[in-house]
Amino acid sequence: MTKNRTVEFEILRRLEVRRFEKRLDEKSKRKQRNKQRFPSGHARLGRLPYTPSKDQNNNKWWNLDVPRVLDLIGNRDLTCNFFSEVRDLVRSGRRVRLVFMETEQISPDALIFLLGQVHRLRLENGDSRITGTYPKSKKVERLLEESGFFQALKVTKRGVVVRRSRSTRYLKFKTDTKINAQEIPNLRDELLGSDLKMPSVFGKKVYRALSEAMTNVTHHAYHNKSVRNRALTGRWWLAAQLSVRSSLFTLTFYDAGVGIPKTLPRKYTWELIRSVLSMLPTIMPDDGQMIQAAIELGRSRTGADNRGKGLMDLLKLIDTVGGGSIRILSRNGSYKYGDCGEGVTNHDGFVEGTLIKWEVPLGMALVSIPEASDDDPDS
Amino acid sequence: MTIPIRKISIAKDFSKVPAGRYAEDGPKSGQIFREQFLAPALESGDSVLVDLDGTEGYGSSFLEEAFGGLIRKQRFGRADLLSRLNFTSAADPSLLVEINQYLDEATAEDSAASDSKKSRS
Repeated sequence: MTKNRTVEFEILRRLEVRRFEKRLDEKSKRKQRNKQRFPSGHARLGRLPYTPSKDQNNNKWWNLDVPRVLDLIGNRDLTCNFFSEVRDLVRSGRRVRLVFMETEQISPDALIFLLGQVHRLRLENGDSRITGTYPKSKKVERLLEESGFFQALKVTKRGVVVRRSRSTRYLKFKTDTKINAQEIPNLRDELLGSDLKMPSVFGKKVYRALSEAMTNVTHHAYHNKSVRNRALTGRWWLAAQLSVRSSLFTLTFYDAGVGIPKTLPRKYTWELIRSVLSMLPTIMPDDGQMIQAAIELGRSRTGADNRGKGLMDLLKLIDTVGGGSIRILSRNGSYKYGDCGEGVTNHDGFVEGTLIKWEVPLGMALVSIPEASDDDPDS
Repeated sequence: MTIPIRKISIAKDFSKVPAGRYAEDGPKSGQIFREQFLAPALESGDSVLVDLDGTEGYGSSFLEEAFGGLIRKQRFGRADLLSRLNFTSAADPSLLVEINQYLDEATAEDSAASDSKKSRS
């Protein structure tokens, strides 16, 4: 064999070894992910991550285990993978049952995403395509019950009384396809009841932030081509909760549109977008950078006409209160601002549309804080 | 001769939940307020005092369209508005600064557009 052929074989051998190592690595990562998703061991046993069953009408259902922790900030990739599986199954014509048996925690951001995604899939594919089961955890059951999730899924009440907590309150989610600003004071009255009050200045800033969020959805969020059902165009979802235990008032707002990274180039030129990011003309910004550009263009009013102020209204809630944080999640990007610092990141986990979460210390959101009770069922 | 002052309370005369920019956004939008309440009052020659208190709040889209739109869309002059249009808000005085900013920006945008037209002709 000539020297050149020997070298050639050696290069091919090393490439093959590298490819093999990469495949082993991917297999190991997949195993780790499945281990987290399916603690009952479905994947380890080589079974599908969803098990089929039949109902009394002989309809086939795909039972999909909901992860132990649903959290778009602390556990984004796993949470997004789960929702991606749900979408794929339902859109391919299968009936899906969400099994909450192992679920122990659902963060406020994951909750509004769950509500929005399930509602969207039911609008696009019919009510009969997706349903759910009751969780083992009483805390999660109360959360899903009081937020209106079971009602939205039309899951029958099982008659077991879940004790309401005085120190954690959830709002039944609200949804509409137009700017329905009356829902904002309704949200406040329903969540606070007659015993709690919100300072007037804070209430006005909440109104400003949410009415602008609704306006943004109406004007920008949805492309006609990407919408499979008219009932979805312009749709938004809104949820809120307050917790004495974590001392937080949390507001979440979600739309299932195309996302800020896709809508921004419709309002501003690529030249302007790249200039606020200090990027070269040949570089394409990623989703996190696009959200950052949207914020910077709103802040600086660069090249803007009379529009573009709405995004700043979302941040003003935190600025006015002087505490708390806002997170904006859209496609693969996320942006944070406030007590958690300011910055953007990119993730593998894909968030369809745009999700906004405000967290404000309870002492700033309420005139007086209710006492936590020792026999709180959430403890 | 004193110019009569017409008072408009957004909360009492229009809506406690004003929101949205354009007429297609809904009946409580900035465009509807401007076209049906604000502009007719100004066109009658009166001075106008707008009371901003009593509502649940305001978004920037509503304010910009309602007030900035007077210059951009309905061709009122800034000097005319300075002399005849006033606002009051005991609950949130920062709104007055914000509205004046929108009026100034609309004026700047308008004069930039007319300069560019002149240079083209």
